[in-house]
Amino acid sequence: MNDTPHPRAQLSAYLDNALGPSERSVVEAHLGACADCRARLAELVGVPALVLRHGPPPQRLDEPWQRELVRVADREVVHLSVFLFLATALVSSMSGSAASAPAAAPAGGAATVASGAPGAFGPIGPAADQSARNRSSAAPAVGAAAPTATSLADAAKQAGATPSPSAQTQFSAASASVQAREGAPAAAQPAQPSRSIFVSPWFWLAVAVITGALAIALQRRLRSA
Amino acid sequence: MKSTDAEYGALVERARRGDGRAFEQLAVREERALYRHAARILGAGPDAEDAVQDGFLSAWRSIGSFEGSSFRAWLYRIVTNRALDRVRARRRRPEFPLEPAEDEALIWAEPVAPGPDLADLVGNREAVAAVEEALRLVPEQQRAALLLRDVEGFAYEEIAVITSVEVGTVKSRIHRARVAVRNALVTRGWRGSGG
Repeated sequence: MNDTPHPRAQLSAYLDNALGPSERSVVEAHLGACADCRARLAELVGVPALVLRHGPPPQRLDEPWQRELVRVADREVVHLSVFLFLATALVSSMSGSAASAPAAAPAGGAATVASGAPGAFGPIGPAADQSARNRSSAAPAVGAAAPTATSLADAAKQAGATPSPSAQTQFSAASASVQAREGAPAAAQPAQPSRSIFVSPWFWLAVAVITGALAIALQRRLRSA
Repeated sequence: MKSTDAEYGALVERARRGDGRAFEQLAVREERALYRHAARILGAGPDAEDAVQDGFLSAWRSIGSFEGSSFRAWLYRIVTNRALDRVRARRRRPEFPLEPAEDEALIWAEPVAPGPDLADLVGNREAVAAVEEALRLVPEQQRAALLLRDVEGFAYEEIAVITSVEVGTVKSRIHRARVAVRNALVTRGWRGSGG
């Protein structure tokens, strides 16, 4: 039949046109005489197209903004929602501030949503080094927190109170929980029945918490790729 | 397209002279494709992302040493190496050489039953799933070579440069990976048109 060895090992390179002229002619001559090798070649022909079609299993983190969101959500959203919770409780604890509290809280809710967005089209940060990467992920969240803090500070001033949380300040867990505890009973009193639910600071607190929870849930989903 | 190529070349030149913004633009252009490539080697997720990010970082640090003709191939080289490093680091047990030393001794599985031609399988979900499974079992060096060829479209010589091996090794790796895919399909009842 055919005494020359089957050039099976050359078949892929033959398909890719990656053989030298002499190798190529040897393979071609063999293929002309060997049905078995022709069959092998026919099988291999279909493989590259299938390999091309197979994707990276899930493509959830395909978009740069999604990865940025995960990165931001990782730490910042948690901090932000804790901050929002405490800030709202603090504001609501000031009895006279019922009017200004709703103004501050919506900004907080918006900030939670926005914390993902600014990072969306941000640079991926190859320019500098690891620290630059961390900074770029931290930046949007700090920026998003800033309006919250300032509006809260305004609200506090209007209410004639002294504490003004700055954007950078993070409440320590201990003092935070104290404030929260102080806040709860104090705010329960001014809840007058005549007032609309939208004016209640607790409504906005709920909005902030829900938004925070949504952000974290989204992060989890993106994570579990 | 020509203007895009020229633009690309200009960006590479600027990046080479230390222009971080130019490098960033290049990175943005290639990031997606590189992530997909890394994810095909490593599986999607943080590891693939990190491989790309680490790759960009070291690319930026060593951009001065880039003198080749293809910046894209150079990036692929860095990211492929990062991805392969991670595969190795991830593997707990040592790898046993299950494959024969000679390409001629590769096992070609026999078809179990007549089925559709492999060439007709494109678009068949089941076939794509079988390919994925087969590629997961292929040694990562072979997988990387196959992906650089069949997905990214690099020539054998380019793949040799990217993976720092001889062209003959590239040829062998691609072939082995393809035979592995072919075997996975054939044992599921598919066969080629001639056989």
